Amino acid sequence: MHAHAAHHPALQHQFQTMSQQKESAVLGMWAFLLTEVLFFGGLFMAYMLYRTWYHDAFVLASTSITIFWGLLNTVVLIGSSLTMALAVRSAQINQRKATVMWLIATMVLGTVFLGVKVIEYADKFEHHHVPGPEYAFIEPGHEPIFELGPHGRELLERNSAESLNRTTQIFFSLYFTMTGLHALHMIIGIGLMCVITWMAWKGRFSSEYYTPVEMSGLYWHFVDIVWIFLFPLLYLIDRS
Amino acid sequence: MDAIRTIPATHYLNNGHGLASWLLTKDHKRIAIMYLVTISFFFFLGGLMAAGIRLELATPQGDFVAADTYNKMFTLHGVIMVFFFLIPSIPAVLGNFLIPPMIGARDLAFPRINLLSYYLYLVGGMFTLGAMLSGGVDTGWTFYTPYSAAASNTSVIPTALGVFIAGFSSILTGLNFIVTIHRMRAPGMTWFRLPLFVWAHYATSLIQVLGTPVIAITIVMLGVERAFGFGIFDPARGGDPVLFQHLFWFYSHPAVYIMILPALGVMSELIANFSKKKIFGYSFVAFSSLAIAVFGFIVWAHHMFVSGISVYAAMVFSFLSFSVAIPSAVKVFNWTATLYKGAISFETPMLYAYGFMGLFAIGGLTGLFLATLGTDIHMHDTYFVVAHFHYIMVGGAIMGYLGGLHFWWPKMTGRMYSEFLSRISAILVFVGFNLTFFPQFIVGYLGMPRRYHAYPDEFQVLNVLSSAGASVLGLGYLLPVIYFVYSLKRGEVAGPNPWGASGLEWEIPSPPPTENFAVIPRVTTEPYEFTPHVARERELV
Amino acid sequence: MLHILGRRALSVGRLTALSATMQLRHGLLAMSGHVTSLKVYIGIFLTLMFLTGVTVAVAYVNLGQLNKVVALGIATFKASLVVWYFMHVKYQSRLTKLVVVSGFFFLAILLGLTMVDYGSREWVNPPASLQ
Ligand SMILES: [Cu+2]
Repeated sequence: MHAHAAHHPALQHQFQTMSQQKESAVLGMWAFLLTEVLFFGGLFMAYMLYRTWYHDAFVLASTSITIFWGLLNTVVLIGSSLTMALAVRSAQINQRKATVMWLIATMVLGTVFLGVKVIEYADKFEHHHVPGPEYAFIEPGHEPIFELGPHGRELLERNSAESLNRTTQIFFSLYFTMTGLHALHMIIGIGLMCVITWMAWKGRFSSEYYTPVEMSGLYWHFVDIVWIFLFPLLYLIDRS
Repeated sequence: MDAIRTIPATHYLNNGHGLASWLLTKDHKRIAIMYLVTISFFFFLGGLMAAGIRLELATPQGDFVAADTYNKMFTLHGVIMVFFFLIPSIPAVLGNFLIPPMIGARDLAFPRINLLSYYLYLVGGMFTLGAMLSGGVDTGWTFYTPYSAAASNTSVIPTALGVFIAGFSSILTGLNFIVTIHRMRAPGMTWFRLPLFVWAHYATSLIQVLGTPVIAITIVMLGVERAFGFGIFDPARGGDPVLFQHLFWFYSHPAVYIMILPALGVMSELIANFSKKKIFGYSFVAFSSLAIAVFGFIVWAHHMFVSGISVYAAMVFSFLSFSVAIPSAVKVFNWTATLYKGAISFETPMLYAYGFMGLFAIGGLTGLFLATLGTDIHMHDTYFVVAHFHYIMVGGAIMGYLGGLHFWWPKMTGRMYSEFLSRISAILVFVGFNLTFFPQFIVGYLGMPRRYHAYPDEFQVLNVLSSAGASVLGLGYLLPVIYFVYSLKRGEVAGPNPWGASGLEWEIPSPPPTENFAVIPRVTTEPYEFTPHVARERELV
Repeated sequence: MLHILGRRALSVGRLTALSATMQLRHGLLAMSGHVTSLKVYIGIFLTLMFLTGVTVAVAYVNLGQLNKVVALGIATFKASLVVWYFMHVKYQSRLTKLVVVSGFFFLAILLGLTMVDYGSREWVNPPASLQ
């Protein structure tokens, strides 16, 4: 069977060849990820500005977040990137069951990530670290409820509680918007993967046609990359 | 020649009947027609708002509507015209219809995404309509914080959400065009054989893909601030409202090029085809589109000279803003050189092209006044600015859109419209437009601020001129509806190529078959070769 | 007329050659479904894990201003590994590479030019270097 004479069932009418179709999908996906870079870029812009302006507030607010959960999630998410890459690889070499298995592993890891996020968010709600009318970061005259970093004491002394209660809200506004949108991307990714897994199970993919697996892989890795930046920016400010 | 002038037995319009065959179509031509109908609806809605504004401003007192209502009218006028008419206009209608046949393809690369993008546009539009019905919105189309986030008690969120959703429609259209132009060109259709219309759309698509996500995230930040009480731009918590303006204009300045670049592409086609000459300096015109797209991203803060940005940043952005004048001027000079010694004819599309060149030149040159720091401080937020951007967005983009629509109407429907009425309408549009907006340059220079429903008596004469012009302009816009609709049934049959134009789209029947080409063509000629035999020689369909 | 026909024949000849190279190019790109070895994938994963550890460890060492530079440097390097190997950009066309680079180019414009404003807000008088 050669590529041009016999039409592959997955070849759409507007394309001449399978490779043209695949190249189009790859370019389209990358153009979409380009869009995503600038989408998150607006948030990184805001982060950069306010981290410069409100250094002390950002340090204090960042130390109030538990590194452990962030580190755990980083390991989980990079792990899911590996399983995703292996899913694509299995599809490339015609291993249907392995494809399905790796996809399921990816979804499981993604769900673990989201579960950890729920724990973290619940903690923030409980301690009134969510911006808005209920917000309370430092109560004047009281010790903070979180463990201070090495410069924490010094920072608390040189800023009024009132000003910290205002400006740390900017940190948490960005924290929730950034991690929230990241989590939303993961939910969309898991939804996408449910469909892809089902298609893989039905044997729709082969070494000749596995574009949907590859595309969802690209998307998933991108989401991983966003987290690779979010982790140090949100969790690791000035811990020394 | 008469033998050719028939409507083919099957074409994209009669291939499938009933509502579902339209609403679920993946044919780029049918989607283009759906866009045409929908954006026309929004255009007249936005026009209605404009009519209200001009009525109010006919007298110095605020007597026609209350100040609040006036604020809502100009906001909706701006939101609807920018996001739901101008941004999609040429790309979604003409680009959608023409790019595949122009490059020798059967459809766009992603037909389903094309349909999705139409529905996103529609849903976005519905949100904005919903906001209108639920009392309107009064922030101006720019949604500046902190007013939009903290103070306004109107439907900011539904409107912004509508813009957000329509933004994804725009992104997906741009993405589809980029992939299509890269991957779907017919054999022999090299980059330098592409019609300049396609180059212009390629540049436009780059802006849509790179710029739109930034306004999307800006709207998200505004939304969480308004809905959840987050504080990213909130000055009470140390946030900077000017950051909102930076992010907003990072998209919204390039957005002007989303509106004007496709019109520049239409112009190149019109000027070559109605002077029957190869475009002068093809590659310069092609690359100037890309240059405009890239330069467009480094000038945005010229909207913020008096917003409190640093003087040094203002100097940098002022200087950079001048750079955009270069590629724009390259285009105008090249068109002029193309016309020189050409076999020029004056059919309706060409009348629009002439109107465009004059108005675009005035719009562009007055833009330089506003990019200059010293003069901008005097003219900022006056009617001078309003006049300037209407010369670009109405005098430029809408003239381009109408010129293109008149040029390709016979291709889209297979029939000609009344040449007499269409010339009258082109003249009405040109005269009405200048009468509406030229006085605004003067009244703005004299110091009349924008966005107020009342003004001092001494500005009345100029405002009455402007309102009178608006009614002429409105007439000019209504006429095409009549003769276009009339032409659908009664118009003279156009045949494949009524203008003797060059380009692959003129070598297939009008209206084209669903597949555009039965056999994918092999391109052997350079663009804009007006050999009389070319069209007849190529064996197509 | 003859003249035109002659030119057409010529260009058709050129075209056949052209479409042959296009087929070839398509064929080569179809091969771009490069299968990366398990060893590479696992190696990259372990490197990413190692770098995650490094980035956390370094956060506890006081390097002053260098802390954020190191943190961002490591993150960028990790992201590059993901892009290059997991996302197969290593085996993709130059166009894909260009798309990746242009994303960061326009992001740099957004961040850089905005900071031109914020960076010079305090300059009530020109800095010494400009006087
Ligand atoms: Cu501008």
